[in-house]
Amino acid sequence: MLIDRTHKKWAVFTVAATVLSIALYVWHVVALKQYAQKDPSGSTWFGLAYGFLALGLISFCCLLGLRKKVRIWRIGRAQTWMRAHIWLGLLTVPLVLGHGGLNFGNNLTLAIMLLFATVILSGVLGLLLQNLVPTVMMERLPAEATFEQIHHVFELLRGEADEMITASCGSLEEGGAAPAAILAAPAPKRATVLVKKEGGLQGKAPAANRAKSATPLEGSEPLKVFYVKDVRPFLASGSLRGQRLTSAQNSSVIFEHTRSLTPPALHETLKDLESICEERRQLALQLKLHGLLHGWLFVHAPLSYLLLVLVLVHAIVSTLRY
Amino acid sequence: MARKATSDNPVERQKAYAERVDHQYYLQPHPWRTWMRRLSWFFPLFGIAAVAAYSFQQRGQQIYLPGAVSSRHAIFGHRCEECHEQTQGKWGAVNDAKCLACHDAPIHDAHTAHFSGNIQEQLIDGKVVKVNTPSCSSCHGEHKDHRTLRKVTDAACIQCHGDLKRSDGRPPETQRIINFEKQHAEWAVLRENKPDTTPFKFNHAVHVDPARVTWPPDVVSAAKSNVAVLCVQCHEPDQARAYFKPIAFDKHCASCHGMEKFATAIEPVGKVKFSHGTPELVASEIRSAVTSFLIEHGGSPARVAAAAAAPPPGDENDLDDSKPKPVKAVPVDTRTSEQWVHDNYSQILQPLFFPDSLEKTKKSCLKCHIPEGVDPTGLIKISKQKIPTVWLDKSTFNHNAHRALDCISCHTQVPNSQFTSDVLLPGVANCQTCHSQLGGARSDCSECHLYHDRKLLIFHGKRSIQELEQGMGNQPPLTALKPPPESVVEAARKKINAEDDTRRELLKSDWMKWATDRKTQLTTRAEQERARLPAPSADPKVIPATTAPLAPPVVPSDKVETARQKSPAGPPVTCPNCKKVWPGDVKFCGRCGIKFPAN
Repeated sequence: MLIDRTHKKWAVFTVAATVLSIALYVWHVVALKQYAQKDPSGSTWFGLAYGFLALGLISFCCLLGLRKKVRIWRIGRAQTWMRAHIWLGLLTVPLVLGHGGLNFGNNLTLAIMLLFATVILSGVLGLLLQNLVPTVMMERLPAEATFEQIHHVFELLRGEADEMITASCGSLEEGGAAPAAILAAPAPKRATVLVKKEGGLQGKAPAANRAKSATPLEGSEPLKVFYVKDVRPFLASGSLRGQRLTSAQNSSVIFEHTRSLTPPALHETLKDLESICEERRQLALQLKLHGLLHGWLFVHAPLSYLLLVLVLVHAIVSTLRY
Repeated sequence: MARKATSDNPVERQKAYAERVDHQYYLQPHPWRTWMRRLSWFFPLFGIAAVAAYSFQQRGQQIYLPGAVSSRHAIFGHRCEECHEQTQGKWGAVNDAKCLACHDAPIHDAHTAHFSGNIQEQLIDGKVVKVNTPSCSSCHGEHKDHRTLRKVTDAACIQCHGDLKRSDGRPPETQRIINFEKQHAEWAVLRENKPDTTPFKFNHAVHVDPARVTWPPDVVSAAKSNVAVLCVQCHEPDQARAYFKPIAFDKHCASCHGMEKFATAIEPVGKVKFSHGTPELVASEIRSAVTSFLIEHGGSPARVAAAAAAPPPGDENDLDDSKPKPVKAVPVDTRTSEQWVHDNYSQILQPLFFPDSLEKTKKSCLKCHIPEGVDPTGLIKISKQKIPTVWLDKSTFNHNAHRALDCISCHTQVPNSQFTSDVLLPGVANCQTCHSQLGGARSDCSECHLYHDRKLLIFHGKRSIQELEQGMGNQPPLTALKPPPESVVEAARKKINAEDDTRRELLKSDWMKWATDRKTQLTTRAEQERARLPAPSADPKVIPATTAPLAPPVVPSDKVETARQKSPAGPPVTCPNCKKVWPGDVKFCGRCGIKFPAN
């Protein structure tokens, strides 16, 4: 979530609450040292108050997952929930530290503190990434697609390319230029599902399955060979490592060379093919940036639930048994 | 035909992008969402399973501990009930009785007691006063580390000692003690300028000055004779190396100040050897030696006189009879043997105990000792020397921990101290140099002061090995869990109260006045003894028989007095550094060690 002006009230509240909690903690420590000769700990009334407050805030932050899961609940806007999640989550830091008297404790409490630190740090990292990465994506990814649909778009792009080549160079299955293994590669599972589910689905089925073969243009053989050997494997959804067209610079040179081998009538097709490869590169970059943008959630969210469970165990055992 | 996705028209381009997307994609499973859901279930369930599995183990409760049990209690650290009371399934605070089941923790003061629920009504000076006694756990915090377990914070001490009032009604030295560095008062002995009242004369300045030390040749060779006496040659560390053994004549003085120097040769007995001991012992040895001489020389005074008058044996080669042989007259000694022994014994003892001039004092017992009078048998009274080995008995000190330091760097007054009455204790400012935040050495209360009265410590364990390893089980409760008998507590209180009374009395009395009175008393008594002496006989050959006690000193009383009394005191001197006022004859500030300019 972008931190913008709409967060101002939340930020002010959080900073004020943090300052207040630190001031109260200092007062408590001084009073405790002076009158009770004790070090601050979670078992004092002050420590308990901070502990239960932190428990409440952690529980609330964990409810964000539930709020996202059930989108139709009318319990505040999701954005408001996210703002509260961010700022109240940060507010738990002084409360938890005050609860423990700036000690990390031992055994279960130590595990909880380490877990808490991990969750907070991963959350802060995620917040930073979500404020920085989208700008990069906007600048470098004009052909951005929905993340979950990227592999489907790969297939669409390959189908579109197949259709263009078939129209210009004839059927890809004819002639000996195409390696049988490449052409025999099965269509992706997702593409198959989409094709089967007609009605509510959009997009096109892979062209290789339905493109009608046309009479090949004269001099189109180099293009066909180039497509089958380099472009089609590049367009397949998988790793781009080792592909000749992965680098935009190399790709430009290779396409220029192919252009010199083909008649001018095919240059338009080559241009479209080059743009399809460029889109493929952008989508590959989007996959990487998306991993960066949302990957931290694999640490933050599951560990948050684990933290909540352990905190509840700690609170129950400490309150009822000690 | 150009691709729509690369069209220059942005609307057309976006439309092309949008056409690709399945708008209900979120209904389809995706690996990211799937794995996120799986992990979000797995981690909490794993946490619950781990906690449950650990809780069923033998030491499962340990995961709930706020901190590790210190290594000192590790043997039963997994059994919470060894320290904590359990009521209605909840673990409560630590009861003092649980600590005292193993530990012998003597009470701190008669006015505090264990098993009190921390507040107890006590009868103090005829009034019922509520006394707050801190619990064991308020000072000794467990579940941290053993250093924290032992170390008592300053705050624990300050709660009572921070704002103390004096029992004698005088204003306190400091209004409120917060820490050692700034508020600690000067040691009482220095603050009240109390002298060392040991009846002894010792000059430190002479012993530590190489130019003034005269070494006997059998102790130090001439080549090495220009060295001072090292402090450790006399101040020998005790077994713990914390303090020093008491100074003993045989060990620390005799090598230079041997008793043979004090022996006086008289006719006809000669030099009589005697050892260092009480006046009674010295007198006994001299009498024994004189008696032995008499027996060896005929057994009667007449024979001793005859033997003394006999001509010396002649030269066997001298055959010249013409020369007249020297004839010595035999004196008539009519004294009885008892009288003869007594007279010779008195003649030897007189210069030792009662020198007749200041010069002769240097060869008498009075060179070092200050007599307290004359006993009925005529011997001087010299009390047993009790040079304090510990000056600050309310605290502990370890000289061994300070062994890197030169003695003089703390005891700065030593090179100029001429009198035993000088208290050469370093002032509190000297300690504060290092024992402060700036100095770096520890400066908390427990560094020097102990809470528990170690004098009441009974080194007697209360637990068996089985109890420590397996717990109490069904065994009957330990007797140690009960409070100690009232008689024991009462005895301890009486002892402490008696000590307090003595200290209070000492505080009230003026030590200097006491010392002056005591000396006046002694002088008066000596003059009375001298008045009882018979007049000396006119005939030197006939020594009158007397059974009167030995004569007291004939030296004028002003010469017998110590050099300290003779030295002019002068006006009081104020230290330019700490502004403390010292008597006029003090040459150094005992607090900060600054040398005063000579008047």
